[in-house]
Amino acid sequence: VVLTRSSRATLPALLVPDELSWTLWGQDPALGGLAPASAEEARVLLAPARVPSPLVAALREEWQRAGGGARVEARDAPVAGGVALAEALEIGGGHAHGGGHDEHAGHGGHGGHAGHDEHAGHGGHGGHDEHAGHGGHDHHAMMAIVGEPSADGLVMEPIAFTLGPLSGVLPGGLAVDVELDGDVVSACTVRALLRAGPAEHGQLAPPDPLAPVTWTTALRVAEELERGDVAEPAVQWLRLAAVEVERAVSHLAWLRSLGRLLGWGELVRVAQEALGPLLALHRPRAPRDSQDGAPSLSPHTADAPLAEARRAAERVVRLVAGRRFAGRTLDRGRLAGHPGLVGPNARAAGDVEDRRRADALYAALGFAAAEHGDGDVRARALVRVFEVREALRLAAEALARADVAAPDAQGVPAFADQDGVAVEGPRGPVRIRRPANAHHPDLEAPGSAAALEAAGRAAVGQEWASALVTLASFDLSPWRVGT
Amino acid sequence: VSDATPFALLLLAVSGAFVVALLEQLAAGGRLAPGALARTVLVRVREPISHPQVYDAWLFHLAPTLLLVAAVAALAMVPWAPGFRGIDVESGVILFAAALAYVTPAVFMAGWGAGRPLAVVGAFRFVALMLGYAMPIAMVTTAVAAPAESLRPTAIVEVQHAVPMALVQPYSLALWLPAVMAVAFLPPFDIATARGELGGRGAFDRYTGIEAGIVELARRILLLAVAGMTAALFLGGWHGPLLPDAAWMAVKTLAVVWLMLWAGRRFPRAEIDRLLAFAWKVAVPGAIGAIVLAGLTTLLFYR
Repeated sequence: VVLTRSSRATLPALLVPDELSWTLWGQDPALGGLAPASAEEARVLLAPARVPSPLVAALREEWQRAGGGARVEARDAPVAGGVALAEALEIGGGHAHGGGHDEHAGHGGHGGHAGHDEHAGHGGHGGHDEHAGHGGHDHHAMMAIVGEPSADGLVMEPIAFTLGPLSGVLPGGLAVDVELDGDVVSACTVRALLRAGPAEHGQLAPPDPLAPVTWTTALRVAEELERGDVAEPAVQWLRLAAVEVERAVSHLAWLRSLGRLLGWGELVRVAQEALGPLLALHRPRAPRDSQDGAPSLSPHTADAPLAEARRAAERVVRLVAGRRFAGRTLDRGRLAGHPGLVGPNARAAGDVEDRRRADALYAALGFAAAEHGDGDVRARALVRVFEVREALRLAAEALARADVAAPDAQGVPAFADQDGVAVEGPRGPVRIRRPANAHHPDLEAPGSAAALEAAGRAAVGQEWASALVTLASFDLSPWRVGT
Repeated sequence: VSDATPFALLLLAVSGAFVVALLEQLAAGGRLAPGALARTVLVRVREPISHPQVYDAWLFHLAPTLLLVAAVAALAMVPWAPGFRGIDVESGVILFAAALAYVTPAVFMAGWGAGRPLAVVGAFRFVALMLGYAMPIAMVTTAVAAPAESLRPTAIVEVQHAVPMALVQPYSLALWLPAVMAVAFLPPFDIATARGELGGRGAFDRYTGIEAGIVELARRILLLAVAGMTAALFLGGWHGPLLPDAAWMAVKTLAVVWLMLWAGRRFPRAEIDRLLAFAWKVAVPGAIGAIVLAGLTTLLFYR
């Protein structure tokens, strides 16, 4: 079914890999009226022109189920090492409509568009077979009758299935192997399936497309450290602002997904209102294009959107701190301690670790880390909304200083420490260790494996709805970084 | 009841479902798009029917029809105007509750028939929920019928000519609204069809084409039916000044529809364990109390 652009708002869409990725790459599907749907109800498939290899099997399955009745729309979007869409779906080039060609003509260097033959020969075939075994979709799972007595003494039939890797509620590329005992989760393992491909055109892509600006900044600083350069103060402030805007965008987009999972229209709308103005400032592709490594944030044009976002963020804080949110999240998915966790997940469990505390630039802005001691779903959400508030303040002040080229940062390389480069991203620190090799730097996102493990553990013992909210509360990334 | 009644009912069901769908658009996005709605219908009609690889064919394919029949049957019991009372029978409100009772097997057949873990979870959730909420619906119906001394919906409307039942028995309305919203699987009580949580449409996930269309149509007719019955039983039905009878009923019904849709956006989806705890610990004892109070009210004020 091919429908005109104006009518697609009415159609549920399967967003590949997921809504969060699209938003963080500067193309928020919600602005175009697209609401993410599960694969079962999707009438439109919005997929990047190239698809990460581990998603190919799942994507092809969805495509075949649609029986050619669905329309594919390809856009320039995040992938790091993937298979051309037409090839992945085994369709001719003519069937995939490059909906975004015109508006993104300037970004031609970032990878191909759907159906172009030039990409047919690219790597990624290896992914087909190795991931075929994951199945990935719950309708494959048959109910096994085992007859083990469950915790309450009743003999139940355990139900085992896999959610994902294109689940619609968790980021694409996350596969969750679940065993339900009645409607209570008795076993849960979360797997991250995606890994960035090698550098293309000599340009190292962000290894985690869910934190593109954070990683681009880290790679830039690592290059400069290697050359022995220190960026201009104005550039440093702009980078800080860009990283903070990305943090706010990431947290708000995550909260919007959580609102969708909770079936709570008001939370979705309020998060969207705060997110909307920020998307004009968040340009994940820009840092690579600019000459001096400065993000293309302009202090003069950013004022109004930042102020609007800050007003809307206050409404977000009120809603998340309120009783209605607590009713679904208080005491859910509580972890004892925070073993190996980093970022907001650790800060929600009372850990004060934050890379930004050690940074002179952040200190100059009076940075205060958000903390909460509860370690449950509500605490993780609260920490993130407080971080949104702080990030927007930091971004506004950093932009003001960039404007007057405040000398605070003179000679101090931001985001660098004795080990190399460390930037606190939306999900915790990202690291590039010395000696940095421009082509094969030692990239690390510590704590991401621990988050997967902790999320699976926290979900066990909960009713399915709470378990899913718990899994979502960890804001997991499906991208594996480092070894 | 005349020869034209079935046709009038079907016309009401389809046009009412259309209006409900428009209100849903308004509640969700703040703007109306009737053209988009028409296109969605077109997509559903032209799309082929499909089914899961492993499924129970009888249950799976019968469920949408059963849901539609239950919804239309419930709608038929709603008295719209003195001249158009639907199927006006002596035990109308009991038949209404009985029609709603068939929603439960329909949802269960859909979820179980699909043979898919999360659809089955949705099916069992709904059965558990309805075990809890069928009693409050039946008992509140009795409480509301007491002043009229009749189970005929038109008689209950007539007894409210001076004071709507919502003012006489506000506690009954407070028990009734969440229960009928749960029957019509409206957010925040949409735990059987929980979008996201249980895939796209939970128990109804795997329907495509006209079957998916029937489910969507039936859900809206169900919403119209429970809203209409709420207006008739609690808001005085067609009684009101100036406007024609049918217009009052339409205004009240749509106001209830709007209230239900609005509430669905205001709150996160309720959890099954809390809903069940509320049903058994609050709603059922509360409904028994409502009957006692209704009896006292009737003796004191309606005799």
